[in-house]
Amino acid sequence: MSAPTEQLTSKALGVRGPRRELAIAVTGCFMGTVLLLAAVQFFLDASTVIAEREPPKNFFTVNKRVEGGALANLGKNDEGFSPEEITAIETRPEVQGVGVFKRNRFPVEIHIWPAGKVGLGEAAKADVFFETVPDEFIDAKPDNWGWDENSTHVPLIIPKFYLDLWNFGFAPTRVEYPALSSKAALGIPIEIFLGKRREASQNGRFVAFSRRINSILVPESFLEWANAKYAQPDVTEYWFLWLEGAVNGPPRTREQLLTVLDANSSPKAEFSPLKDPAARRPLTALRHEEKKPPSPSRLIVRVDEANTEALLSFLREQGYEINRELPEHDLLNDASKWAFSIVGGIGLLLSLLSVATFSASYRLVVTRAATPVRDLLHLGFSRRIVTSAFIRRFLKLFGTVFGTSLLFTWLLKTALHGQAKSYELSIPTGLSFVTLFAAVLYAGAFVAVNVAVIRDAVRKLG
Amino acid sequence: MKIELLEVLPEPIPQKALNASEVWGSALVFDSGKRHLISGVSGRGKSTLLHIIYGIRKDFKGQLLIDGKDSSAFSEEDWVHLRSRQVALLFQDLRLFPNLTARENMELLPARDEAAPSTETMAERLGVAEYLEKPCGILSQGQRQRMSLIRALSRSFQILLLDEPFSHLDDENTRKAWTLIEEELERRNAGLVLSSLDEVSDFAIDHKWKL
Repeated sequence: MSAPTEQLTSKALGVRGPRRELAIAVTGCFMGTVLLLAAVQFFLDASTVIAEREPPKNFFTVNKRVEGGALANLGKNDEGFSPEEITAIETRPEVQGVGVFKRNRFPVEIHIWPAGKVGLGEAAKADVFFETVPDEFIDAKPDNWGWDENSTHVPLIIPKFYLDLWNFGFAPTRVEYPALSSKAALGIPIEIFLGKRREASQNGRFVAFSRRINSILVPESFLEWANAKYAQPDVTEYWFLWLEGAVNGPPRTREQLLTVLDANSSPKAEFSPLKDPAARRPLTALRHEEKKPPSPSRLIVRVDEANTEALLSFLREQGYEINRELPEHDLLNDASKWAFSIVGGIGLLLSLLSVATFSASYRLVVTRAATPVRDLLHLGFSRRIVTSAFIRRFLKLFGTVFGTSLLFTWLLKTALHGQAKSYELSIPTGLSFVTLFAAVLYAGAFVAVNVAVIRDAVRKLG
Repeated sequence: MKIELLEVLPEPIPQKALNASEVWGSALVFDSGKRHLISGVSGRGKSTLLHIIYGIRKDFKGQLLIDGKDSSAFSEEDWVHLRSRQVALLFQDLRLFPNLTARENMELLPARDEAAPSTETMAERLGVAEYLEKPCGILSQGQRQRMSLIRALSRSFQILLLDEPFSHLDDENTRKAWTLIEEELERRNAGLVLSSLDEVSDFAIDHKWKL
């Protein structure tokens, strides 16, 4: 059929449609489409964000359970893993690697200057600790990760959620603490004070944010240097001195005991660890006693992700604590699923209603044009030609509504993208392939139903 | 082309109409190249007969054969082909689209006979050329009847069905219209089935039936 005839057919059939019904159908279609597509898009975005923020499943940290109150644990510093215990974990088939956390053995205080300059505004001050893990376990290791005595500052890696805590916890409650983007946080100056009496200070910088390791990490070279310089002996490095079968004086360090031994004042002198006074041994044995490195209190374990259940139950049997699932992530996941279900459900319901009102309206459009339909058929036009005139009219209206809905969904997404960006959440721009695919499917179903209804309505007329 | 009616009886039809009719319940043949007149007073079924031939009414007893084929076996496509290429009907109620101009009505055809005189020529001859750009809805009954005749003559046909085509025309205009119809029938060697309230003595007719 030629284009002018096509136009004339449409014109001949161009009786006024049921305007009120069509307006309701169009509004319903617009709202339903936007809600449905927005629900799909937001669900995808939320899933991306959750997946990104979730700690990686093939890494977790293990520590020994701390039991009892503060008094019971005072002076009990050695909750570390023995080499045998580490080997037992390392040799499990699921385990791909074990890294030990080493930590500072001296007090550390840091002053963070969020205004960007030391001495400007208020500093956030905190007693902290530093740890190191082997480099291969760090997920956010920058290229310049390292330290030597000539370095201008100490690089620090903190967990990403510390920054979230700052932005969503501290900053909103304290006028002197501004919210910080990751980029801004990398620039702020930090003063690090080392030792019990703040013997030394260093400049620090945050250099990266880890999603894997829940600790403040420094380069190993810095920790070794600082421990060597400022470490204080801990409880494992003090001993009781026994003379004539009785404890003599306050606990002594190894060096002090060796002085006693060198003086040879009492050949029957004995020594025992503070934790186990009954385990007395002759003082001469001290020379052969190797200085034990402090045992690590935390381990990071890399596992084969698919097969962790047996390992997890083994670790639980040993009475170790595992930091793995963070329940708030599951909560967020659940919340996003609920939001998707509710918004998507409403969208689906509206869409179904709009399909129904649209098709009912178009049945009415066809019925109102009963006379020209009959006349065209009696002139010798085929039913297909008459039907396609109505279908063209429907497609024009639906196309406009659908296009507008898609545009509106895109605008919503763009607004959300801006909002997410201000919260440091990274979601992709634009509508995703899945959403567009869903849109095409939805439009296809919408068109199919209405085309079938129009065909049926024309068929009933003649 | 040949159209045959074998003992066709429409439903419902009054017994009175049936008794006096030379058409209902009889055998009739309409050939291309011949002119047929069906005359009778109102209510005897002149339009019904033309609608049966055109395939619009199917509620009748008996058989309608078109080129020897029983029309009851015709598919929708067969009827579309027949109406767009072989048989043209000028309805008594004209069936023009009131929201289209007269010219647009002439152009809105599934198939045009390209050898037919132009719309302008025919409109000129029938004295309605000046109304071609007007919407049909505002034309008088006589003007619309002539427009409808022009549309029928523009179509492709081998048999032309005219349902009381001159009911709103004066003698002068009827004569002009008949001349144009005769020319077109001769040019195409087409047949005519004309329905009329009375026997038209002025026209050359091959077969006449009373309803």
